[in-house]
Amino acid sequence: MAKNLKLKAARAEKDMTQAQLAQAVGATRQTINAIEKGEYNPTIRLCRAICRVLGKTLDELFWEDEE
Amino acid sequence: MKNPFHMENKLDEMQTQKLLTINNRGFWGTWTALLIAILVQSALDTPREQYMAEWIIFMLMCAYGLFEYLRNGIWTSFDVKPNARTNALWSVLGGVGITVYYLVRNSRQDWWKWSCWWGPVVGGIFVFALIFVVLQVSAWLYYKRRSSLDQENNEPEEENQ
Repeated sequence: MAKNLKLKAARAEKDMTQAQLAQAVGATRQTINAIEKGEYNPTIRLCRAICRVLGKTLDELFWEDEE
Repeated sequence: MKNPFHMENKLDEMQTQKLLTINNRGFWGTWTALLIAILVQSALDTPREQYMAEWIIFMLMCAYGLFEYLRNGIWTSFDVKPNARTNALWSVLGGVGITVYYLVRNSRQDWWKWSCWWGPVVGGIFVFALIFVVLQVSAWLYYKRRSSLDQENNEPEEENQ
């Protein structure tokens, strides 16, 4: 699984740390870290919570163009 | 009625998934360890009373697994279409395993004598047939349950807007 750099950028845009984002979505920092590193595939429920907090759409954060 | 034993899951989804993986490994690790313990004790002619508890726990684990897998329409993680051929292959494995086990248990150092092979081979054939029948019946129940789960109409109702 590829790294989710879009998520990392969106979090930086909001000036949030992984721990702050984790707290806002009710997850742990390890989970947010694993999503950004592409080591964990989150459920749609968590994706939506992340999008809501970061003010982005699912497409903007989680859509991957086929190569 | 609220379940008094219910404990709220305080873990997030990744931790929950990891916990399930740990529990899964624990279940199958215990299952394998019990099987080895029973086989070794039985091969060493230990009195049955001494490993009866292990055997009961092992059988309870098998019954629980079989019942829950079938109830949820699951066969294995690596095979969702069991058929007579794959069932026969597993049964051969079981049959050969039992033949070797009886050879070790009954014959010890005389295993190379042809006279020692009859009992284990007959035991192996019997176990092969038993496993095959159990697998075929389980596969039939599995397909029946899968079909009933697939036909269940549990789509969410559309809300009037």
